[in-house]
Amino acid sequence: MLSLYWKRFRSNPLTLAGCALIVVLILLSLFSSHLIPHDPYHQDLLNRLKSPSLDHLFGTDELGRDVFSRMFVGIRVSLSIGFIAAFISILIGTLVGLAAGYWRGWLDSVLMRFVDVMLCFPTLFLILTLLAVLEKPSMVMIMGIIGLTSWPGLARLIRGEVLSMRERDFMLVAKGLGLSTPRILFVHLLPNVISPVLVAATLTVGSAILTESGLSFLGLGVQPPEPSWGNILTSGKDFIHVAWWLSLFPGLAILVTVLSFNLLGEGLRDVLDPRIK
Amino acid sequence: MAPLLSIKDLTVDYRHEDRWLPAVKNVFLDVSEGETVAIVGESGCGKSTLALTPLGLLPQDGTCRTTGQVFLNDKNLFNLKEEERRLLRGRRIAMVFQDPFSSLNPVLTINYQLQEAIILKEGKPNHQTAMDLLKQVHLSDAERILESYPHQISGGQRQRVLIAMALVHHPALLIADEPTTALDVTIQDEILQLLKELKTKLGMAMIFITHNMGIVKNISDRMAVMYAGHIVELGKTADVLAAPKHPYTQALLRSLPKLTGSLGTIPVMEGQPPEPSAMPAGCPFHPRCDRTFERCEKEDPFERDSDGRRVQCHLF
Repeated sequence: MLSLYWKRFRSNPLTLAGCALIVVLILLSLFSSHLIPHDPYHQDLLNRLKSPSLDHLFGTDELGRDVFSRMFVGIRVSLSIGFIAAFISILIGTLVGLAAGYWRGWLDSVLMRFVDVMLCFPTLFLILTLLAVLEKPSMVMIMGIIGLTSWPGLARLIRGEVLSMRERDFMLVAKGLGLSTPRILFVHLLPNVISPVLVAATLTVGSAILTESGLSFLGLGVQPPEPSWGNILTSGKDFIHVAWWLSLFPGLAILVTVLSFNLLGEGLRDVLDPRIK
Repeated sequence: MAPLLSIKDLTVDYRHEDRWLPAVKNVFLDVSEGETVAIVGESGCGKSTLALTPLGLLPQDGTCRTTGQVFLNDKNLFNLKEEERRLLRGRRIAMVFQDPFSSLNPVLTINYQLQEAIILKEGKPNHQTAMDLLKQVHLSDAERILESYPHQISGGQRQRVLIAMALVHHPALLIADEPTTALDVTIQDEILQLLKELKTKLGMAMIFITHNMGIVKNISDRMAVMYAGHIVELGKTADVLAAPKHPYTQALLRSLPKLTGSLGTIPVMEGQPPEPSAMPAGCPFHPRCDRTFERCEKEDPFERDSDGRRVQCHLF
């Protein structure tokens, strides 16, 4: 079973590339403090807006800080927000989907109508409103808010899977054996709906990173001087005619990272799809 | 002595759009300790719904409702809390389902699924108990089967595993819902012999649902014939098969192909069982009955008790 998955996984070069890049990013972020060439917070006003050179690989910003080092630290910001926000989203989405699909009835109606309401809001505006209410958003709040607003689609997906699974005979057998409800839900039902969860989890990480970048770009995300790809991009916007490197490198980093997660997600979808043998 | 299971005036309705449609209607049925009762009938006559009721496995999302009473040793199951009912499942009443191919969880090993049942009884996993259980259902090569996933073993083996799971607690009543229908004929017979043997060995009562008259004759002490949610005839298996009284039972038995003699034409019962949404007035069988008369169209026949034999028909 696992070897079959591995074989399918291996056969797709794009998935492998995405996966490899994510692994590299994780490793880089873990060892960033040892690897960065300059202090990302050190201002050097004599060397403002220097173009890329061997010393400053990605140039310097308007305060003379090393863009390469700042982006290096930004990896950790983006990945941690991406992973934690996705985790929150998956957790809520899975629990809501399981509960709605398993118990049906009024609980299902209430939860799904709530999901409908959530899906009616454009997520970005909802997040902006919430962040605007909070005076100074911290990293934790950003993770929380992205996580809390991105689960409804997933909940509906899981519910659909649960609806098709709960009619299977093995669910009746499990119940007929006298197993407890938590056991039926988490041991018998959840593993059978896990593949869409895995795919959605991967895709959610990518979209959470994108949302964080967007928020930081709008000035509502990670606050300077703490670097994030989004806020480096914002400062780059003002200097785009004289310092292209300030916009290009963070933009590329966001693009490549989100693309990697999407490629991995798509790859997982193909690998885990039971219809493809 | 009070019967082990006593179903009194049970009606089960399913909701279809805005209407409640009966799947089982006014059913009375007793099952004594150690007795095997076969329930026969065409597809959709309510056999499976009746089988799921004592276990409390009917849908609980508001699409199904029950009226009447089901007693297990004088305890009305419908008055119990959900948790109390759960503790009866598997322990006092167990069930074997029709399709062994979909009755095991595809992502868990046989050992895991068997141990789940064992943990409920002994509080912790026990390899020896699992081995003994598999031996009891005549599975050789038990070690390999324990390590397998359901898709790695055959249908017959899966059904044996499912029977083993059902027997962990030595239940007083085993409900078998067409346990052999999905299997090859040779395997069918083995499973049937196994169930007979285990029933005697463990002193279980059994409700055996089937539409195979050969199996009914082979396995059961008493039989109930269901039609459109009603039990139309009930009695000792030998009596019913030798002298069926209800026109439906008679027609059912007539339509069996014979193994001896020339094949000729098999008499086929005309028509279809009624849809639950279009139940005829009076006796539900009267539109297909060859002995119908005026009263049948107006009055639903009430059961007449005559020496343990019950026939729901105006002719008797």
